[in-house]
Formats: sequence, structure tokens, C-alpha cells
Amino acid sequence: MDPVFIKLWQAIISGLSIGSIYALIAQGYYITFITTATLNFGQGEFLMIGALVGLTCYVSLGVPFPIALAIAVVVTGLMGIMLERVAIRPVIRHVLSYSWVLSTVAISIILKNLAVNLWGPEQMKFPSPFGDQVLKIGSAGIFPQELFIIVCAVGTVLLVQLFLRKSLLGKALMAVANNRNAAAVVGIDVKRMVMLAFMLSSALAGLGGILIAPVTFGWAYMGTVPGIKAFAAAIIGGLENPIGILIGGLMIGLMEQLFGVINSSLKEGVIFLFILIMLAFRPTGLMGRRAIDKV
Amino acid sequence: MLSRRRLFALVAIALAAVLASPNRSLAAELKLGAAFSLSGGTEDYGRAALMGLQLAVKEYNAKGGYRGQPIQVVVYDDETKPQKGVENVTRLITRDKVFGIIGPIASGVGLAIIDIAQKNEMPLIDTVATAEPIIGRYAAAPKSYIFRVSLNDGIQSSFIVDYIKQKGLKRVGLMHDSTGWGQSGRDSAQRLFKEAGLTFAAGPEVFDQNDTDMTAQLTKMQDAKVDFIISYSLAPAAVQIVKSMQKIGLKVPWASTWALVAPNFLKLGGKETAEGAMAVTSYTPDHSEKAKKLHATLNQDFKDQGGDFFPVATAQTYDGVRLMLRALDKVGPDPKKIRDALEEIDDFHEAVTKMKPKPFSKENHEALGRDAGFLAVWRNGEIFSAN
Repeated sequence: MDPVFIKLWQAIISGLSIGSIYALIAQGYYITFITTATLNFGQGEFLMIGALVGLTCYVSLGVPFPIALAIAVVVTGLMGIMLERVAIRPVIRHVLSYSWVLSTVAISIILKNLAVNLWGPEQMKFPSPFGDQVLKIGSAGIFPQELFIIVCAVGTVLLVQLFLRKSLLGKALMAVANNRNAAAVVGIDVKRMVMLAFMLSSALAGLGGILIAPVTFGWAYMGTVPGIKAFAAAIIGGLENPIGILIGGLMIGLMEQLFGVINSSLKEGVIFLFILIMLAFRPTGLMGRRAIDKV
Repeated sequence: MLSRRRLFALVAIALAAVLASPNRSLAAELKLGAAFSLSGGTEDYGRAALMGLQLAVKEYNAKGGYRGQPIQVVVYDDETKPQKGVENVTRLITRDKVFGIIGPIASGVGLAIIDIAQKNEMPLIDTVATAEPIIGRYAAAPKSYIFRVSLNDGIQSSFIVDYIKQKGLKRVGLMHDSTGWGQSGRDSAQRLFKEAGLTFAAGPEVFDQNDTDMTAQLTKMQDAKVDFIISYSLAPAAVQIVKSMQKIGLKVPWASTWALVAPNFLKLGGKETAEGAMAVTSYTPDHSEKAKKLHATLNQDFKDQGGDFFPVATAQTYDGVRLMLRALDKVGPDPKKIRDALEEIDDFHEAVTKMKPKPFSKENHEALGRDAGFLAVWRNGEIFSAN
């Protein structure tokens, strides 16, 4: 088989795996943005907490993996509620206030510091519950964990969308996103929906963390870069379009690996250059709605 | 009202009491200082070095110490932070008044503290940090107070190249991380290859030290049909390199500097990942009879600390401390005299590393040179000499 094709195919498979994590975290940005017009800039650190809590449960305490995963997701979900209470609600009282940027960044720094003190600054091994045998998809190799990541992350994104559109609770959340006051008028408890939004958003990040930890090592500083790349994914996908965000996340993952084939030292810069160029042509992202303010 | 005589008597008694109390003992306390990183990234190296230090001092004191007096050790943790290292060394020199200092562990800390030691004329033996300027900076000074018992970065690369020449490997790939250390490693590898009249079949390929997927870089090596890879990668990146090699089905021997001898390579990757990886080292627990003995002693005496979990760092420190104590025996606890004595030692036959009986001289403060290192290989979770 043509060596160029083999290289590309391997890059595509690897890229889809990491890209689906970005998509998962980006969904979190989307949910809080549509409901409160805020973003949790500590999303990456919630990924890290999910990973390390999961690591402690699975590796140190010997808890079976599905339960460790559940615990990690629940813990980060609860922390999301705490985040909303402490860093968002007191700050968005004023319509034009952007202090939530600082308060979520502050939370991220606090979490990083806490993690270093609890788990140490070094990388820790997270053995994959699916083992280390390389699977072959055509000529590309992939670890079972990476396949699981793709399936789980994309599946979760679709499930969340199903929840938001079809379930009563989900629709209530979307109502708040659409028009807060109108939702309150029809009897939706806005405060509770906002709490739910943050819980969901953080739980998604926590899930991403425990999914990715066997691939990347568990590590106090593991969340920073994925948090930023997922944010980029959310923006280029169009912050208010969930399918766009999914595509955005996968795209960034793919670009990372494909540029890496050409020149590994420039790939980060090239990705973000591409993002800049794309935003110059489509400021609201690939699939974002063009904001038209009627005056 | 005290009579003058009574007053004098009282003052004399008080003075005698003060002079006789242990804090004011006229026999100066013998203190050896250690500026180690015991937390923050390089702690494995630090903890292992501390073990070597403790064993050497324990044995020295058991044989009577210095003229019957045991020496004490003062250890400060710099948390792998250069600024803290500077504070610690200053404290060791001015407050604790040590006769010598062992350390540092981290090269970043080293480059900061050697200036303090040199300025204050305090002999310092570095038993871990490998950056070349640590010795290089004061090598031309009339009296350099900085010594090293560790293979510096430049020398480490040469052992890998020696192995390649010896085995007649023709198609070698080069990869390195994007840090300053990785880049300088690439430079030294390229320089050594040029001197040997060799060229690389693939690379230099770059990766970020936190990258999790090197399949792109390794596929290029695979296309070039390499039969050996040189990599400047720390343990986490090294584990990812092996995993990426597994993904694309690339099975070639590969080597790195002593970063791969560190225990966290085994911890992060597990036995199967480490299997067959080669690293430069000055010491393996099996490379000589003395080494085997040391290994057994450490596993026994320091069982509760994990035994000999990082042999090379412990062994280099064990040798370095004993050199300092040998100098102490010769000239007493005078830092300036100890510095001179270190350069003159020519009968140190008990080294566990491959240093010569005369490790230092006026021109050379690197105890481990081109003949003191070799490649080691991981087999089943342990390190052995590669032949």
C-alpha cells in the first residue's frame, strides 16, 4: 500500500481519537454558554480532576473501572454545581460583567494547585481497562482505549443532544438558553436549570478526563492544553451549534495529526494560524448563526 | 551589694558555664551539606542521591568518623526551584558552616547555585545534574570549587554513538523533544555523527515532551527503514514513543540518555514498554563486584525506602561523598584545603562507578569521562549492561 496513504490513515485514526475528546469538552463550553453566556475557563482542570479521581479509584483503591468512571463523573458534576455557586452566580448579577472570566480562571488555578498537593506534580500511569494490545483498522494501529474514546465521546455528544432536544428537562434547559425571562414566566426554575447546565458541562469534562488518562497519563497539568484546544473547537464550530462543535473538535484533532506528518515542530502554530484565518472569513464559526441584531 | 571579688567569681562561673555548654563547644561541629531536590519533578534522583549520601556517611562514622568525631549531614530541599536552591546553599555556607556541599540534583538549580559556592570558596560535588556549563563555567578559573561525579550531557551522547559504531548500525534515526535539553542533545548527536563520518537515515524529528502520539514522526523512521533510533526524551515522552512504535508495528532497538534509567520510566510504562530500551549510564548494579555488593547493601539497609530503586544516582552520590570525606581525612574541615585535596586524590580505588583512582586534576573536574560510561538495557524490569 502506498506509504503516504498509510501515514495519512494512521494520522486520521489517531486524530479522531484525540479530536473526540476536544469535542466532548467543547460540548461543556456550549452548554454553559447557551444558558448563561459564560464559559468555564477551568474546563481543562475539571478534565484533570475527573482523570485523577478516576485514577485514585481505579488504580489505588482497586474499584472496578465502570464504577470509577461513574464516581469521576459524579464528583466533577458536583464540582460544577459548586463552580456555578461560587464563581458564576455572584458575578453575573450585572449584565455586562465579565468577571466570570477571572473567577473561572481562578478556580482552574486553585484546582491545579490542589492537584499538585494531593497527587504530586509528576505523571502517573493509568492502565487501560481494555489492555494494551494494538488493534488494526486497515493498516493503522489503534489502542482499544482510543477506540473506546471515539465511541464514548461521540456517543455522549449525541446522547446529550438527544437529552436537550427530546427530554422534558432538556427542553427546559434549552428554554432557559433561548430566553431566560420567558422561561421563568412559564414556570421553569431558571436557577435550577443553570445549576444543571454547569453540572452537565463539568461532568462532560470529567468524563473526558477519565477516558483520556490511560492515553496521556494522569497529571496535575494535563488539563491546560486540552482545555484551550477544546475552546478553539467550540469557537470554530460556532459556539451555539452543537454539531458544529463536534465537527470542530474532530477537525482540530485531525489537523494536529495531519500537520504532524508534514512537520511536527510547527503543527501547533499552524493549527492556530488556520483558526485565525478561518475566523477572519467566518467570524461566528463554521456553522454558527450569523448574529443579526435588529435595531 | 556584691563585693567585687564575689562579682568576679560570679562572672567567671557564668563564663565557664557558657563556654562549656555544647553549643559553644570549641571543637567545631563537622557538617556536610546537601543541596538536593527532594520534591518537584526530579525527586526520584534526589531521594536516591540521599540514600547514597546516608550510606556513605553511616559507613564513615562507623569507622570512627573524622579523628573519632562523627560528621553530621545537613540536607535542604530546593523543590527543584533555582531560587530556593540559592537560599539553601547560602544557608549551608553562612549559617550551618559546612565543610563541603553535595548537590545539586537539577541542572536548572545547579546553574544558579554554583556561583554562590564558587564565590564563597566552598567545595561542591555535583553527583547528578548533567548540564555541561555546571563545570564549564568555572573550568578556566585558577581555583574552581565545582566538581562533578556524573556523566555530562555531551559525554552521554558519545556513548550512544560508540555503541552504534561498534555494532555497525547503518540506518539510524534521530528524534528529540523541543526543550533546550532536547535540542542540545540533537546538536551533540549531529556533531558526533559528523566526526565519525556517519549520517542519519531519518530525522531529526521533533516532538513536544507532553505529546501523546509520535506515530507521525516514527512512521517516517519506519519508511526510512531505520535499524536504530536515538531519542532525547524524558520518561513520559519515552513511554509514548514506545506505545506509538507498537501502534505502527515498528520494532527497532533504541537508546536515550540516562533519562531512561530513571525509575519513573518503568513506573509509567511498565515492564513490557521498558523492555529492550537502552540508556546511557555510569553504573548498573551488575557491572562490577563492588557494584553488586553495594546493590545488596542498599536493598538490605534501606529496604523501607524502597531499596536500590535508582542505582546510578545512588552510586554516583556514594562515590562523590566518599571523595569529599577522603579529602576531609587528609586536610581537615577547611573548605579551601578540601578543594585542593580533591584535585590531588590519586588513590581512590574503592569507586563503584568507573572513575579512575585519580578522578580530578587541576584541569579536569569531571570524574566521569569518556571511559566511565556505557549503554545499559532494560530486561524484565531491571537494568543490565548492554554488551
